[in-house]
Amino acid sequence: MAAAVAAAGRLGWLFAALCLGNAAGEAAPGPRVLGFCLEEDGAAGAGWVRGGAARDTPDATFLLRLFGPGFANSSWSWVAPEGAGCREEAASPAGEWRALLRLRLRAEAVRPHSALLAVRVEPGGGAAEEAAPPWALGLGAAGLLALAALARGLQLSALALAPAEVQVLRESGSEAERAAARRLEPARRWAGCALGALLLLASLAQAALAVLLYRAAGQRAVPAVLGSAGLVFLVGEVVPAAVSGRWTLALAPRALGLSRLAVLLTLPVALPVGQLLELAARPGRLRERVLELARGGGDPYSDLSKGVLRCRTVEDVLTPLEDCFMLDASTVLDFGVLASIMQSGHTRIPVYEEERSNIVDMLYLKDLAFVDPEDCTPLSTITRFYNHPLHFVFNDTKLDAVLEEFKRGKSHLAIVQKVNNEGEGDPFYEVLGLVTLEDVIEEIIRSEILDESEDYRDTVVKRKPASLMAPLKRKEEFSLFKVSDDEYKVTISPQLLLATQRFLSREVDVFSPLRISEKVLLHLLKHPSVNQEVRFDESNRLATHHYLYQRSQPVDYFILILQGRVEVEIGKEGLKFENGAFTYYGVSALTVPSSVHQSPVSSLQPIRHDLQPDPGDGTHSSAYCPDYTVRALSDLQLIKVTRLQYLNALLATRAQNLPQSPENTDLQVIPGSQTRLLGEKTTTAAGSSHSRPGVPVEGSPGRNPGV
Amino acid sequence: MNRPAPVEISYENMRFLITHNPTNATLNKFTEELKKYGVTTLVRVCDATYDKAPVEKEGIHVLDWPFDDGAPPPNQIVDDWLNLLKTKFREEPGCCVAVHCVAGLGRAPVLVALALIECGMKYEDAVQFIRQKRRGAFNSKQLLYLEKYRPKMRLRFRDTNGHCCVQ
Repeated sequence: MAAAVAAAGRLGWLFAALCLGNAAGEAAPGPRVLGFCLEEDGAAGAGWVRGGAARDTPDATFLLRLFGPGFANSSWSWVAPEGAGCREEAASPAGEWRALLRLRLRAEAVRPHSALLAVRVEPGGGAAEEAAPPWALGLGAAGLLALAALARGLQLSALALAPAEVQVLRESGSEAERAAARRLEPARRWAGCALGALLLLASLAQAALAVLLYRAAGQRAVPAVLGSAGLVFLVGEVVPAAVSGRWTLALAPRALGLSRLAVLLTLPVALPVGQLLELAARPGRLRERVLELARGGGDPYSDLSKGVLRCRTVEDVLTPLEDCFMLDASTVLDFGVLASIMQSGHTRIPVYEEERSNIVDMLYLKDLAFVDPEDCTPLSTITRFYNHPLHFVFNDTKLDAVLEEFKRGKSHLAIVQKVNNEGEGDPFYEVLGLVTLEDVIEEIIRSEILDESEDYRDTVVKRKPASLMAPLKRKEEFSLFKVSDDEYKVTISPQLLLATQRFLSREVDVFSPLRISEKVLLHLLKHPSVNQEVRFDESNRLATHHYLYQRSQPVDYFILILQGRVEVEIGKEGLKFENGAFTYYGVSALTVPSSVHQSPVSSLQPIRHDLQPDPGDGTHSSAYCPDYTVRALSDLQLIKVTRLQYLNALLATRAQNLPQSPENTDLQVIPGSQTRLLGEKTTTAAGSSHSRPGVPVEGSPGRNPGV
Repeated sequence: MNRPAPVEISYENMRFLITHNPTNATLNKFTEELKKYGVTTLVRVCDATYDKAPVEKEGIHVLDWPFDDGAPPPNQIVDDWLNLLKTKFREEPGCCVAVHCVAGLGRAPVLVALALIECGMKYEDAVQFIRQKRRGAFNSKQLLYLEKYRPKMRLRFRDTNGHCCVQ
């Protein structure tokens, strides 16, 4: 081998000497014969052809090369420096040196017959090198970019959702979302490996792309770096982010196969990297945590319940002690007390001793199921028998704690107390009020709860449990009163009714027992439409509903003031004065029908006949026009009887009197006596007013047996 | 004013019942409570507002040691109280001594705290111990008195404790 190299070296030197010799030969025409010697080898043909092509350009120079085909090669190398016009410069030797080097190779090739092939291949290789780069570089770059973009896209789409998010989609998403979530869920198990694999592939692709661009850019660094960065940024990052962001759920399931392929290709590296990523998945955990919080916030009641109840105390929602309906322990359960209990609408009533802040017992409404108001049972008897436990909470107790206690069923009502440590004396527990389960629930739902007993009154009335105006109380009162028709009930309303009845019976002629019996009058007074009240509006003193009567305005009713004050304006001079309870007006509105009825009393049969024309008489008779005005000055409670109601009362009284006839018949067997009794009534009715005072004395004893 | 229910405070071999002031009307109920806790002695540190005969009829001895509302106890009452406890808990192990003022939040807890301090408990611990059962007990003057109090009979109670062990 060394000998061969040495031989090649010597041949090189020989060729160099030949070139020099050739140069010397140019001066002498004789050395051309040496060129012809090379043509004898047969390789001169190829040289000849190339030389021929070259001959077309410079005639003299190339003719010299034609004589020697071997010299043709050397001449060709020599021609390049000559073309540059640097024959005299130092650069020429460098070019020649290169030519000599090539000449050596060719010389080695020339000697074997395969040298021709070498000569042909060298230019062809250059062409291949120049042609292949554009194609190869372009395809390589495109492929690498596609790989990088695909890896990034797979990562962004398949791994974008945390496991908790996938679960949410599977549970609450649309049909398409649920299907996509179901397909994605298994992939979440090997997300770490997939992430590692995809990152690895993307890195390899980007690195290879950089190297490829370096070669394409002629081994210049700056263009390669900028080109690589630009392409990776736009194609490898921006495009995948845009596409994945828009069609995540559409692409992710379809990309699972590619993800698995990526994992398989890079398994040795992806597996350990995946494990590390799983261990260090802090960002995923944070997202799951946020998701849990967001999911929790979706329940408004849960949020309200926990938040509101924990930051508010019973002191914020309690009912103050002065607003609570309570009973004294020494109370006797008579009609009035039971009526007020019913009217209060409460089912749990605290019982205090001596002062309202000393609550000692709790009364349940159901404890009164067997209590008869006539028995006047002491309240302590009931409370001692049932002995319901009391439940106390301190004022700073949170609402959620109170709700828990209520839920346990201990009680639905708690007494709120706080430590009073002010002053010189011993500390003590001060009762602030009551808190109920309803109060807590109202706080949760931020709304007021109204039950049946609250439909009849507003908040103001609620704070006055003893109000006489409550319809419930009136209804209950009448019911109880009917059962026990006791005139000696010591309660305001029944007493007021009785007082009203007696007042009308004795003071107002049209309501005297002679015309309307006491029983019928009592029923009349109990009628809801007869008992009325007027609410006084301070801001509008001259409101229409304040006027009970107005001058020259026809009316058909009678009014008795029970409570409140009115202003009366009378006469053409407009004299004004105030009046109060138990003053009455409009008697004349009822008098006309009464006078009409006086004539029918003449006989029994004519009475029956006149029943029909009565309405006609009412229609034809002129209406009553007061010559005075009555206006309310405060809230009023009054009795208002219309003419129609009055006529009905008269008829009811007569209906009551009719059954007495048979009784009278029983008392006196003679039919003639019946006629005589009727005759006596006729005489009495037809008599003058002077004789009337005497009749009640006779009538009352006669009516009592009937009653 | 609300009168809270009685509370029992037990420490070592001592048992106390802090109650509110009953009335003649609630005396029966009150007496039943005392018997339920096994009270044999009742100390009244407020003015007598009820007849003690029905209580003593049930075998409960009633002692009247009143002192001012909101004030710490006088020295004489402290000595009487501690002597009473020493005698009672030595002669009747496991018995209970009841003490009440009006609401059971001031004077009565002070006497119980004194007993705990004499038994070796620290002042802060005694106050905390009682307030766990009787929230809001003691006013500022009573707290100051308990803070300044110097226990003198610690040894005797330890002897009593040892004595009980021997028994």
